[in-house]
Amino acid sequence: MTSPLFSIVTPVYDPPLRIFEETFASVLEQEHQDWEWVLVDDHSPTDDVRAFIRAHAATDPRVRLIERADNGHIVKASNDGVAAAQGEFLVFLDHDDLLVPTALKAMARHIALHDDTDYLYSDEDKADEDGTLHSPFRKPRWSPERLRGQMYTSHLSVMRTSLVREVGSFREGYDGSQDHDLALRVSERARRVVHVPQVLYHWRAIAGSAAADIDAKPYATIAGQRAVQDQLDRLGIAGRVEQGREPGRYVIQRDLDPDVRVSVIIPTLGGSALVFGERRVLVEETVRSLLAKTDHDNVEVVVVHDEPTPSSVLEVLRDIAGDKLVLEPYDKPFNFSEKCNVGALRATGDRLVFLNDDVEVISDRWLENLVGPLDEPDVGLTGAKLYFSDGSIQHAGHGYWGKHYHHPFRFRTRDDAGPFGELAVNREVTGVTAACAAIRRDVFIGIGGFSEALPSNFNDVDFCYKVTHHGYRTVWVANCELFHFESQTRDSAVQPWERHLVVRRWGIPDKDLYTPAAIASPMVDPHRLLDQQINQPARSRPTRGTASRANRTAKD
Amino acid sequence: MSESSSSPTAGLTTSSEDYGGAYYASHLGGADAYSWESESWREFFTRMARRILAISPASSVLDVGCAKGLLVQAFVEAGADAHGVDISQHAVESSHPDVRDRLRVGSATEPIEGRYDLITCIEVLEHMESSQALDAMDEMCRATDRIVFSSSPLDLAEPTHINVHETAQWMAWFADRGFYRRTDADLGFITPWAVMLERSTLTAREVVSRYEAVVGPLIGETLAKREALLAAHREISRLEEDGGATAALTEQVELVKKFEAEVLEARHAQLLQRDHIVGIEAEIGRQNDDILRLHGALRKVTARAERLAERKKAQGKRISGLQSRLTTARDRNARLERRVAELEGAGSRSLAARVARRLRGPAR
Repeated sequence: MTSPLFSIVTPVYDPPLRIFEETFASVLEQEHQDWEWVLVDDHSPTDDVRAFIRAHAATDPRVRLIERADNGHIVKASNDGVAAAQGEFLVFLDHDDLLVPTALKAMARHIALHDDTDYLYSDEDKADEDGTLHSPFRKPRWSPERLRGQMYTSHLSVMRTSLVREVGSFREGYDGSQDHDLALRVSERARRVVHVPQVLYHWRAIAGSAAADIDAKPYATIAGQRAVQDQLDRLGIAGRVEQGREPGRYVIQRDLDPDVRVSVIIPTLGGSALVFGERRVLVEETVRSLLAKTDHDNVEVVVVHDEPTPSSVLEVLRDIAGDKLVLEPYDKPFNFSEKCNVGALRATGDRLVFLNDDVEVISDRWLENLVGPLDEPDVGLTGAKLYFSDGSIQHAGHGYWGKHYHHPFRFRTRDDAGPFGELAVNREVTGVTAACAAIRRDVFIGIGGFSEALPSNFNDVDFCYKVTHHGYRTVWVANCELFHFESQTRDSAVQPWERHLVVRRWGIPDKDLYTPAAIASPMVDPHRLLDQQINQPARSRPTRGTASRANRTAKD
Repeated sequence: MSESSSSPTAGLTTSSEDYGGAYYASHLGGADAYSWESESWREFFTRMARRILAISPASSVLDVGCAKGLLVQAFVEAGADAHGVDISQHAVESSHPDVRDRLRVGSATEPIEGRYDLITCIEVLEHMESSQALDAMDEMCRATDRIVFSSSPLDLAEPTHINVHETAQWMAWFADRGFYRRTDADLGFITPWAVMLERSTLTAREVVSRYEAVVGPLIGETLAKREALLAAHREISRLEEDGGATAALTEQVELVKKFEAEVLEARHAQLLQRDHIVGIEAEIGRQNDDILRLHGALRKVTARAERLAERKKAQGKRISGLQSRLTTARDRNARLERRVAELEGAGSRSLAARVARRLRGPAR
């Protein structure tokens, strides 16, 4: 194994020298020795920094200074650096940030694992002016959909030099989001994108820099929106990019080809419940809202109904859905998986949407946004954002870690964007609930549908494992929102054998590759806390242990 | 024509009273409907008049049994000097003002004044007593050389149809008066049995050839239709014979349904098997991972066991070395003790005690 030569590229424009000296030191301290550092001075107004660099360049041939004759801003300065680089890989370092001493060594180790690695990114944290480190961003494994929602790969990014040049380096006109634009273009062509799960970069939170406040650079978010739209257009993804809930977050409104037939499969018993102070037949509102909140017309609604379902309910469904309705009777003992499978086999659509009968669609164009991502061949499954009736989060993707199957971010409020945008943007996840999930027919058949050995719990967990096992991405869609009046329809007690079956196939969950446990916590159920306060003796307080037991498992 | 009721007649007669408002209401689609104002009737008669004049141009026309004069009005519109006569006072009085002066109340048996290029008599004579109908024919034949004539051979249930005859009978009566059918004129637009007659002197040969010209194609048509009918009849018989045909079809539909259910079931079974296989493969994969992991762990443990065995062996060697050293030391100690005892026996006590302490110290 020959260690690659890294070309660190740093555009420099008038940083405080004291800060810059620390940045400088962090590069000189690298344990990995094969590097060159291309510093491009973007015509800084004072000579201090240039003099400092020149002095070092005189003694260390690896340090090279390029002096621009004029101030060309970040894009031009960065491109000068890219053009001058001689290394196999480019390392992008800002003039006020810090590399950890093992940064290049860790990158070199991951590059050595695969010949075709073209792009690597690591975790990062922030450094205050006094050197305090905080807010570590534990990133997910390579997530192309997430990258459209936000520039999450950010620092430290390492790219194959030849590929960066092939795509034309940084683009003029995308100042402030030029790194996002480049990451999108490089990752499209990269043969392999690798996440290095270590903090290798300290991002300085200095007033006016993007790390401190992206609001300070509103032009950046407009450029970012354009960069993402450009990618959709390049890849032929039909959709429109909008600004998200926070600056630097982007939301995609997807379009769905009218010729794509969508089958919505709803297993039901025709049960009623009190919802928002009204008694309603749950499935009726489910069907009504699902049809009302989409413009897509090529839809069939396959209702798999148990024998006890009142005929009056079926009549109402016929009135609501007309010739879009397909009724499939089911007369066996309750088996959620089998009901879904029967409905799917009866369905005629290329896209299958599984929907519980106790939901109500909130967001317009929910079906377009949910089903749209399945046009990408490597996306196998999509899921939605579900709320309890009080508007707190019931589901925002599954996370499997620490021997359990979790609902990360559960009980957070509807307007919470998540610690790092997790709740504001579409993102790859390990799994989604079958209460609302969309899958391509070929994938469904290929993975063998829902396992009927799991009649009530964990069938969706197993389902998601199977999708991943077959090499597909699972995408959680932030702008497909529904109420889920959960537990109104059935008991959620989990039997030990159900867990055993899933574990026997897929092993004991350890770490989640998309949703690190630390980010998702706490997921404390306020109702259970209340229950504990009422039922426990006054002197004993709820401990950490009982709080974590209160985390409900993924399938309830 | 009230006087007709008093005249001696062989059969039934009808009078003006039989053709009042009620007659028009019940037979011609309602009293209001049968009028010039009705678009459908107006169009019907306008077309009829134009077509008649197209076959046979005429500047003067008389419509015998004209009712409310709709045809008369249509002829006038088409440019002919037309008049009409009808026995129904009600009909004439309720006629359109534009045509009222051209209509006269009277019987068709009364002599017709003047001569006309064309006389029309449509669905009239079947309502008249038989001999009076012949009188009316006489009058018409006297007043013109061309007649458009129609008299229904059907509708026997109609109460005022007291004089229904086959068209052949009417043609015979007209032939008696020197009038013959124009076989080149098809008046199907009036009624299926309407004919145009003209006064002519025809030889038997001419009559025969005229009728043969029509009869020939009709026979051919009849033959073709009979053949088609026979074929259709045979087809029906055949279908009825394998009478089970429909039953077989139903059976096949049932079969298709059953097959569809079976296919669905098979696909379901396939899905279950697929899941089973995917699950087993996953389990094998996981177990292989476990094997690899355990193999690695085993190797580590084995290496450690080997290292420990080496150490044990080395320790054993050291122990036996130490033991032999201990034996040697003990021997030496015994020797020295003996020596001390010798010295104690020989020298002063205090000196002996000092020597013994010095010697024992390091020996311990």
